[in-house]
Amino acid sequence: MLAALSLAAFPAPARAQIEVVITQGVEKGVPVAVVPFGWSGKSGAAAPPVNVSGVISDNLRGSGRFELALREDFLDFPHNHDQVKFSDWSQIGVDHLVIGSVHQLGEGRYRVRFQLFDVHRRGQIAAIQFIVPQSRLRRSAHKISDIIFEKLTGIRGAFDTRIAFVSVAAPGAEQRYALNIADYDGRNAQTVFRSSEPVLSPVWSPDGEQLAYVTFEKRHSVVYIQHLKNGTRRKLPGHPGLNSAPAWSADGRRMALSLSRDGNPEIYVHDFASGDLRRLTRHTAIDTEPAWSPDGRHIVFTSNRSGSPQIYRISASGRGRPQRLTFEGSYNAGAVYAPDGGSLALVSNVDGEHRVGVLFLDSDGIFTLSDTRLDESPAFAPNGEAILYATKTGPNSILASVSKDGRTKKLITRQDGGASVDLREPAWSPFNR
Amino acid sequence: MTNRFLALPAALLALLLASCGGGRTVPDEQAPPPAVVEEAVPEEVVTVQPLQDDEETRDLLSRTTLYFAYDSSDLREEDRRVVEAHALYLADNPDVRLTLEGHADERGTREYNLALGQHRSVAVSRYFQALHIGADRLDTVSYGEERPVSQIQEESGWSLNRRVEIIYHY
Repeated sequence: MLAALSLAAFPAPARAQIEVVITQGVEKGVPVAVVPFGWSGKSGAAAPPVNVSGVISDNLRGSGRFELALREDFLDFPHNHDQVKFSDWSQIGVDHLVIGSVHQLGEGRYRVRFQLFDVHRRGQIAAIQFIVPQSRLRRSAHKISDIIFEKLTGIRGAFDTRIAFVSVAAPGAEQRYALNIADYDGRNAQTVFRSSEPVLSPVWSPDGEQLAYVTFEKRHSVVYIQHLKNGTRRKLPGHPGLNSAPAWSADGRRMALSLSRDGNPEIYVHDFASGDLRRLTRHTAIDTEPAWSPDGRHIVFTSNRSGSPQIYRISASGRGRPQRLTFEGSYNAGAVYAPDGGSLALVSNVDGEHRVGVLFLDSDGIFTLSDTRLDESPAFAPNGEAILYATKTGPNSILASVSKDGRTKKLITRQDGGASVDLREPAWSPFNR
Repeated sequence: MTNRFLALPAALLALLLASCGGGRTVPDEQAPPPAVVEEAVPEEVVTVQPLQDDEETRDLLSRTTLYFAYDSSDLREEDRRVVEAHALYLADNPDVRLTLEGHADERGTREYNLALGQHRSVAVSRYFQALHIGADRLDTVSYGEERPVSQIQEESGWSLNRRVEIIYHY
C-alpha cells in the first residue's frame, strides 16, 4: 500500500526545523480520543523513531473537524481491542476512539497496527496493519489519519499528500533559491532544485510525478518541467520576454502560460503532444496567472484591463470574450479553482491588506478567509478542505493554511540553524495514487 | 552624440504614448499593435529637442533607473527625457545593446508582479522603438518582486522597487 517514494534529492540542510503552530482552532468538533500507541522495540529504545499517534493527533486537530480529548482525562490506555472499556470513553464524552501499536521487527522494519472504534455502538469502524521501513513510519501515520478522516467525515483525507514550495536563504548565500517538496504539513522537506536565480510558480502535474516551475537563465525567464523520481528536467520552448505562470490542465495534456512573445503578457496554451501554442487573450493590458477549471473547459486569469487587477474567465478553446468575475475591491489576483469547480480561492485587497478569500461562482461576493497580510499563492488541498498560501510576518515569508470555512488556521515556519528562511509559493500535490 | 535630431511622426508618437499606458480600459480588444500603423507614416513630424553635450545630458545619461506608480506601466514625463537621452546615445553607438529589466514592489502576487515588471520593460522598449531604436537592440526581462533594492515595507521602499533598469551591453 505504501508506494516507494524515492526522490532524486539534495540532502536536507542540517538542523532545518519546521514549526507548525495552530493559531485558531474550532470549539465544537467531533470528539475523538487518540490513545498513545503501544511500543515494543528490539533496540531497547524507550520510544519509536516517529511518534505515530502524535502525528495522527496533530493531523486530526489541525483539520479543524475534531476535538481531541485530553490525555489527562483518559481513564486507561488500551493498545488492543481486549483492553478497551467503552464505558470509560463515553464517560469522558468521547464519540470515537483510536488505538494502536508500533512494533519493531528488525532490519529497520516496523509493524504499525491501528483500530478505530465507535464508542456508543461499541464496535470497530476501521482497522489496518502496515509493515514499513523507518523512513515511511511517518507516512503510515498520515495514511491512518486519512482513513479516520474519511470514516468520520465522509470526505477523502489529504494528510498523505505533499506540498512543493520555494525557500530562500538570506541574501549573500550561494544558490539561495531552492525548490522543495515536503509532507503536507511542511515536514520531511527535501530540496529538488537549487539556483542562484529566483525560482517561482511551482505547480504539480496531475499525476503528482512532475513539477513545473519558472527560473532564470542568462537574464531570461524559463519554464522547466522536472521529474521527481529520476530528477531529469526539460525546458519548455522559450519565447522572447516573459515565460511564466505554468498551469497544467487536469488531463495533463496541455499547459497554460503567460508569455510576452507577441508584446505584452498574454495567456497561451501549449499542447504537449503537438507542440502547438494557442493564444487565448488579446489585450494591451497584463494577462497572467492562468488556472484551469477541473473539467478543462475554462481558464481563469488575472488581468488589469479594467484599470486594476481582476479575475476573468475564458473558454479554454479561446472562443468568446473573457468574462469578468470579480467586481469587489481594487485588487483580486492569483485565482485557483477548488477541486469541485464551484469556487475560486484568490488574493484580495481588503482594507489595504492582501488576504486570501473565496469566490463562489454561483453567487456574488468574496468571503475573506485569512487574517494575515501580504498573502499570496493560494493552493487548494486536493480534497478542497483547506487552502495553503504564503504570507509575511515581519520581514519573513512563511506558509500558512486556512480551512475552507476560515475557522482553522495554521502557520508553518522554518529555521535553519537559527536563521529563519523565507518560505514561498506553496503548491499542494494531487492525491497519492 | 551632439546635435542629433529625433524626428517622430506625430500620429505614431501619440499612438505609442497611448499604448504605453498599462491598466487603461481599451474599448476595442483587437486594437492593432503599433507596428501596423508605422507603415502609414504621415508627413507631419515633430522634433524632440536635441541633446547638447552638456551637464543636463550627462545627468540624464547617468540615470539608468526609471520609476513607476503603483500597478502602472506609464512612463513619467521626466523619465521620457531620460529615455530620449539614452536613445540618442544608442543612435550614435550602433553596436551597443540594452537590456531593460523590469521590477515590481512586493504587494500582490508574484506571478502578477512578474507580468507587471515585463509590462514596464515593454513600455520602455516601445518608447525606445518610437525613438527609432531597433527592437533587435532591446532585450526585455522581468524579475517581478524577486529583486527588490529596498526591504522597507512601506511606500518609501516600494517606490524604489517599482522600476525598470537600463543595462548596457557594449
